[in-house]
Amino acid sequence: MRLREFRFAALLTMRVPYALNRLLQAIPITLGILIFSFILIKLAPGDPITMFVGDGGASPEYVAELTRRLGLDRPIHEQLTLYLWRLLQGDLGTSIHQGSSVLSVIMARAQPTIVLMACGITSGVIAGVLLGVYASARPYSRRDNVIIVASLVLYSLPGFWLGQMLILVFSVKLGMLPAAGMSSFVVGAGAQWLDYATHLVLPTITLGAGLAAFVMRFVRTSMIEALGQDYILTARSKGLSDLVIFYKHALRNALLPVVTYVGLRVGHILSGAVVIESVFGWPGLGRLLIDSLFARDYPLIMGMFIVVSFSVVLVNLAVDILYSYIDPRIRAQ
Amino acid sequence: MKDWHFLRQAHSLWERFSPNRLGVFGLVILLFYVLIALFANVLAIYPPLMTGSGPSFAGLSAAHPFGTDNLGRDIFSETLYGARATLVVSFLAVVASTVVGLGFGAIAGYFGGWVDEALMRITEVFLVIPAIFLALVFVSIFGGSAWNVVGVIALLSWPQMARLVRAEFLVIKEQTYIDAARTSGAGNLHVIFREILPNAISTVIVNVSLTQASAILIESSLSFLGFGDPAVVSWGLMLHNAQKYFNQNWLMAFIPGLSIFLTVLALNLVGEGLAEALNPRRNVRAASLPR
Repeated sequence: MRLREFRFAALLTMRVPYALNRLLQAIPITLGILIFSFILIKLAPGDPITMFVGDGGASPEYVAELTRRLGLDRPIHEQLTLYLWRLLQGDLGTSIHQGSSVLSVIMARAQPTIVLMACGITSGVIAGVLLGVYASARPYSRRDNVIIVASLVLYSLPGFWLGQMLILVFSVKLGMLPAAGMSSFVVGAGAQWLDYATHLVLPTITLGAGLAAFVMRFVRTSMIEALGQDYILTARSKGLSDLVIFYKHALRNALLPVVTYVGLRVGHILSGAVVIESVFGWPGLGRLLIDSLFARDYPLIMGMFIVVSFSVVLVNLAVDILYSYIDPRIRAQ
Repeated sequence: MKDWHFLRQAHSLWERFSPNRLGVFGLVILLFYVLIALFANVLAIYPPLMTGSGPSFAGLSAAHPFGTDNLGRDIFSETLYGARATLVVSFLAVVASTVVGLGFGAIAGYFGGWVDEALMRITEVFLVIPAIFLALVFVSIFGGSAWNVVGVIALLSWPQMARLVRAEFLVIKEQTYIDAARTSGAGNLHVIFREILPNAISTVIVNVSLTQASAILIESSLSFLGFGDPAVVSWGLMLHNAQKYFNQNWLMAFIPGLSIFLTVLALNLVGEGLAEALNPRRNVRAASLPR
């Protein structure tokens, strides 16, 4: 009890500076993303006004007003400051096609993507951890080799093709699961959740497969390392069962880096989700991005670019701080 | 004399690489696809985009080894030409990203200080932005020509290379033989190119093959989503066209996707094999383990 209290007090005093430090480190990255997006807009060929009003043409008064409002008549560094200042206030502009604010359009479509990513990450991590542990129990055996090759195969599989093949087998040939969308048009009462879940199965598998491949190799390596440590020998000599040693002692330590690892891969997972949403017609941010790209809705495109990149920075930051909370050794460095 | 030295090195690399059966397997697949890409015009039965080379959705036959697609294009010929587009675009992107990454990584690692700080912050920005997102935004703004695709893949891939090279440089520049070279009067350029770089090159080579794998994935994702060059057949474009026709001819999706998968797998296997062959530390560990 005493020890625990002591640790808690130590955490309180040490966590704050670490978190603050990490927060400060995230600022230049965020600023970099914003400046980069500004450069992208500036480099775009063609007149930014036409980009905003479209090819339909607008009255000269409107063009003049827009030029002034967008600050295009000012020097470039003032434009950048204006751009950053507007973003700081949460103003990402207005979507050309939807007519409403970019932020509200993005928020309305974020939920399906978050659900898909949560399911993909959960299933990917669970499958990866189980297979990684299974492989590490007999390192360099046939079983281990099979799992290593399986992981190589899984992470070389392009998500969009895996998705197509799953649709081909489970929807087109076997007719077991729906091929596209998030829900059916006609659903009996009370079956809504089930309907939702059946639509989630194939995209989840597709998204989770790639992550599982990475996680299983990662867990395997760190399990083998953990099992070679002295405290495992101690546990063995105390006569603890293999099960306890495996799951309680080794896995707990081997899982720690997995947390950071998955957090750092959130960007990749999101990239995967964009493509997979397109395969399965999943109505999330990926679908929104593709639609807005085809519609050339530039304010929406750039808004999504900023929001998504910023979310990745936030997740990385959160994971880092969480990790320092779980593993005190990190803060000491 | 120099040529013989190179041959001897290549031979010793092969001796260390060849025991890795998976690596050799990957190399064979890779060579297979490279040959296909090189000789696509000789091997193909029809021009790649020729519609009506047969009836739509024709089954397997001698005239159409993989059947035809919705417009009667020969899937076999399309796949051969697709190899060319996919491999060339990703290869050029990898060359560009390797040159840029190597340059910036070397400068950052060797000189350190604020140059290093600034470059590392820039790479962090690129590593945070989800790859497909940036690629799509870039292509939508600048257009989906092959050169733009090369450019955006290079833009996405150089930070990884730069960070790896920097890390190698940081370690190597502290070695005593670098001090020795400097005291005997070697300048910065000599030290960077003749002393440090040759020792960092194994990391670069391994990363080249892994980067090529991810370049192929980005290229085909872009064409799959419909943002590539529609006039150039690539595996991604074939998958894009196949989406609506699963019922009619499933080979339309199966063949190009399998090709992407096998090439990426081959590159990953070769990369792993090279990493094992080139990294003495890993090699010792691998050699001491039962196979």
